[in-house]
Amino acid sequence: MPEPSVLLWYIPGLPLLGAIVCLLFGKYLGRCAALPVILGAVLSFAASVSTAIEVQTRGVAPPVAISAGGPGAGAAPIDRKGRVTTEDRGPTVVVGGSGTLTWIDLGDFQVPLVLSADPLTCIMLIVITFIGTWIFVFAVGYMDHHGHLDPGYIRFFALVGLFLTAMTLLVLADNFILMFAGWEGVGVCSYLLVGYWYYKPAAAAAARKAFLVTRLGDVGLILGIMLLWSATDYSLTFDAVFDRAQALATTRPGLLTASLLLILCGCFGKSAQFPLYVWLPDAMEGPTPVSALIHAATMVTAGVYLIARCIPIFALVPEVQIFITLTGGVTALIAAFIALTQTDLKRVLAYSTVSQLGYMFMALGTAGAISPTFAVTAAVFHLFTHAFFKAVLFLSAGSVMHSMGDVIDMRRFSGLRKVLPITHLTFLAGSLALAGLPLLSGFWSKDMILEALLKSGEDAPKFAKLYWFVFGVAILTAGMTAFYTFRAYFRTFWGPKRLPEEAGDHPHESPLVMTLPLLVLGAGALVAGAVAEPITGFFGHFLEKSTVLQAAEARSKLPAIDHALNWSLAIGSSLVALAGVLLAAFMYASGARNAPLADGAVPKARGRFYYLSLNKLYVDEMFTVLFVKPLTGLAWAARAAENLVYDLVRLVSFVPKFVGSVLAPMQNGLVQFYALSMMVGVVALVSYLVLFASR
Amino acid sequence: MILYAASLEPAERTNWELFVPLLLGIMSILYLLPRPSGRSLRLGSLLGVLAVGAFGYLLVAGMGGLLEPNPETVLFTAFSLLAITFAAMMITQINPAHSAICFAVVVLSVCGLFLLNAAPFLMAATVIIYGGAIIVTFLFVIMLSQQYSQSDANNRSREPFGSAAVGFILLGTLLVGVQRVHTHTSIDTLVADLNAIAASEDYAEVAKIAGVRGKDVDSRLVVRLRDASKHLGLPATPDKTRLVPAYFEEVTTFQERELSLKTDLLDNKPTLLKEIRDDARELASTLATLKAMKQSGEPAVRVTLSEHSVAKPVPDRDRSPYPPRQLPAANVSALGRSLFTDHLLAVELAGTLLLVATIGAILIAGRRERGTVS
Amino acid sequence: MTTVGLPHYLAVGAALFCIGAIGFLSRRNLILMFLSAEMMLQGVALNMVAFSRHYGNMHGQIFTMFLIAVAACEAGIALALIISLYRRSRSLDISVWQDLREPDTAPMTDLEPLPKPEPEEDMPRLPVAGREPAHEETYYA
Repeated sequence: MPEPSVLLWYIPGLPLLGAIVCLLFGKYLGRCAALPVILGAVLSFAASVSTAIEVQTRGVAPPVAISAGGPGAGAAPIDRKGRVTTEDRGPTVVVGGSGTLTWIDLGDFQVPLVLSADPLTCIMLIVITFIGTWIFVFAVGYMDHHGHLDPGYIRFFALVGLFLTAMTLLVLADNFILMFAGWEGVGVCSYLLVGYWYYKPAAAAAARKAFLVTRLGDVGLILGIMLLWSATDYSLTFDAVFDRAQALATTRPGLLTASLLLILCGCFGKSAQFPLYVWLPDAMEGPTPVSALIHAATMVTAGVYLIARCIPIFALVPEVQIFITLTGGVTALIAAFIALTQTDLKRVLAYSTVSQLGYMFMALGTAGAISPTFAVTAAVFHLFTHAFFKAVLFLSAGSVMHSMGDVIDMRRFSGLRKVLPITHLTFLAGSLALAGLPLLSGFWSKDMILEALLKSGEDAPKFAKLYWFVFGVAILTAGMTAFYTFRAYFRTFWGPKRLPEEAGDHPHESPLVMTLPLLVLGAGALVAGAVAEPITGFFGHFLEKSTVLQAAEARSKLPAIDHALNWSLAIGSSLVALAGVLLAAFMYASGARNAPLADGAVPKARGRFYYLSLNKLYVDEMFTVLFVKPLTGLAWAARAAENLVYDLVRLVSFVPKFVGSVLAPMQNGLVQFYALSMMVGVVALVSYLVLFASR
Repeated sequence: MILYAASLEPAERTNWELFVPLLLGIMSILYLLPRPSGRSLRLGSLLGVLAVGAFGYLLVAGMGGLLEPNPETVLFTAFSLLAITFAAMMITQINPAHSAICFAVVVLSVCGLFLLNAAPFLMAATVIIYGGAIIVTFLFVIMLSQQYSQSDANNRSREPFGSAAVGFILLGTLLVGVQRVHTHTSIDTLVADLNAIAASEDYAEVAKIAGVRGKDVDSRLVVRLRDASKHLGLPATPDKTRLVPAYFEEVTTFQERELSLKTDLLDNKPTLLKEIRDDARELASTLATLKAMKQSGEPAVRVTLSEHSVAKPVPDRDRSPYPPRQLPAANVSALGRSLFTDHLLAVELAGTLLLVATIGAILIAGRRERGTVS
Repeated sequence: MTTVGLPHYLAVGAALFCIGAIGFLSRRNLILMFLSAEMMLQGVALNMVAFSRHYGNMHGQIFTMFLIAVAACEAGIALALIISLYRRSRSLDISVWQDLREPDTAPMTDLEPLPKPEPEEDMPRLPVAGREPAHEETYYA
């Protein structure tokens, strides 16, 4: 077994190696070009698991983080400048060493190249690598269009390998800047993958939109990081910052709030909260495995991870926390509202993702009001289960698309449960989990969130009423979630069998390479949540050993939450979900509304809200008016100013030419004209002298 | 002369005797210059005759005084008007051969003027060279260069308005300059002005004629007196022993009166009117006498001739830069003496120039073989 | 009453010079241009001679001699050049020579067209003597 210090480097390193091998040798490998990347992902998963075991075994008493410094890492802790000191840093034992590699060394700005894995990181790593591996396997089949490979096959796998590298780097990083490097890396990979079919204008525009909107957030993020850097005596590592930021809450609360809000910008952008969620539905232009991996399971959870990582400082400012919760609530509600009427299956799932991310933020926002451990556990647990069932939902949609010849408009097909039986089953599994039906994974995680909200509604020192209000919103959204999920399910798989023309002669179930991941992930969607938390309680216990949670707990002095099940809440939420399912079944299962353009016949009584939902609440249009148009106008003005400068320069060159062209006809080659000019000059001079210039 | 004229006062009244011939002249030239659409020959000739007449009037009466009716005046006027008439005809003829003939007449008239200026050798030389050689050569070339294609370049003028305007403006400027200089340096006008001062009763009028300018600046009259004495060649310090007594007396009187007038005018007081008038009267008569002395050619200096002197008494150039208007009668010998002593280098160079020009003309105009580049 | 003096001769000289200048600038025949130049020189010569008389020394007349010499040289060379130009363009019109103009400017052409040549009168043509002219046969009844 290699040293733990080196193992951590394998986790991002192996997918990167796989991506490079795929890029260099892909054209000789044909269909097997995906193998290096898949291998990399599998080995990375193995490394993650062993890391998690390591963390678990070491962390029986004091929690521990494993650090991977550079080669020859010693045993001493690291001070704020990344150099080794002998200062005892409390319960954290850094198994790193002296002589760590430094990425950036600029005086007060020291970015050491250190990876560390605590329980929070381990959970994220397992999710990322496990689901990533299965999605890669699925993609092998997805990118194979009935015999011939997609022309950018190599590019696709290289990019997803690179994405895996960046994402694991993000969660493994020990300091803000290294995490930011991973953050930007996943942003770039998302851009490249959403715009994978770059020749499609819609895809190119969607990729640009995704990148730019998250960029907006990233600006805030880097500003927040720098603010914290300057305020906490120039430290960048998470531990150092959290140690020193504790003092800021009392000495400079405004600064702390400002930096937290700025960091929140980044999280909102990446995790698609209101108002920066507009990129995620458009990002469905990318291939479905990309949507599954990036926009369901991993990248969009980076924001959740960051807040969880920074919970020691977030928990210090209740105003920021209630802001997070409110934003999460608003997002969840809006996204669910829009998802009610969408006709594109992937769009429904995208809005569903946004809505579920809103749930995670709602949970995170309760960290100050109640025990941070419970809040973060709820959010991360929901992240964990959401990854499974959303991935399986997306992959099922991909399987449907694959069979239907890339048609994903629900109005064009129905009754597919006979045509695609396995896909049907897995989609059903995912839908049940998403709706939150009892005993399935989604139920447990959603229940935990609702409980957190309820507790903060009761116990929060500040804004208790607001938390209660958000709890109501969450319940309502749960019902809407169940409704739209099963609307999609029934419209796709029930009703009369209708196939679009692109499906070909007789569409069939997807090959094994695609259905195996579906089955695995579907199983996970059903049971993973149940196994992880309620039955074994493993998840919570594991997570609470995380350094940040320990730190936050130490400071918050809030009572711990008992993990007993709140029966009334559980039954209530189940009933709400069931109600949603039944309503959807009633409306859509018969397929009566599934006739072509059936939506046009929707009862006109709901006309206004229906169209409001169908048009996505006009948020995109508002963005256009508020930002895009002024920027375009500014660009136009800049272009005009530039043209003005060009014209001025050209004017400078034009004037001598013009003067020359005016004077050139004077040289007409006629001797007498020249003689006349000379005479005129002489006469002018002489007559001036004689006649006018008198003493 | 231009700069000198520029430094003089402009005339006080409009100079009609100058403008009329110019206007008539420009109009006649414009009418007479050939145009393809035809020219009005009669109108142009009429205007031309009138212009020449007006110019004659200018010469006779307008350049600082009426000319005396002596043979010189008559000859001068005749030759001048002939020259100008044929000059105008020369530039307005259509046929180049006619122009050459007119040019010959111009040359002959100018030679007449040379003769009036005591330059007989030049007259002869000009007639021979111009009329004999140059014009004949022109006529030969005209004969050799008959126009082949139909072209009426002879019937057209390039920029008639521009060239006529430029030419007549230049002429006007030169004539105005000559007039001004002559009026300033002419003794007659100075004498007339002094007489006017002597006759006037009003100090203001006197001051105006005298051109009083200020306390510290000499009045214009004094400047003119100074220039007149310079032109007459009056010695600054008359030497009684060397000068002829009458001349000496006139010069001293002149200088006394000049100084007194200068101080009086500088003071610029109306009470000094009588003194000024007296001074002016005296100065007028003195100036007239001095001028007559100059014109008569009597030597102002007492000269003793030796027995073997070759030349007539030549006035001392240092003393009197304004010598009597007498050129030696032995024109050719004087020319030769001056040419080969003072201007020897120029002679040699002129000879070289003639040689080079001859060779050049032969080379340029010589026969070319076909196809060689000229 | 004055006698003919320097200013009068200067006036005549100026008049000759200016008339010569007008002729030089406006006529298009090379010969005529040169004749006008010679006339300008005549005016100058007259001025020189008048100055000579005015100052009573020979310098003006000597200058005039040199002027005549130079005029002769100039006449020779100019006529040689005129003959060369005539040989190349078969015309004594100076407007033919415009090649030293700016390359972009168009050559100057005469605005007014040439007058049409008068058509020749049709003179009656007499047949050759001694031959009977062609005519119709007429029978006299």
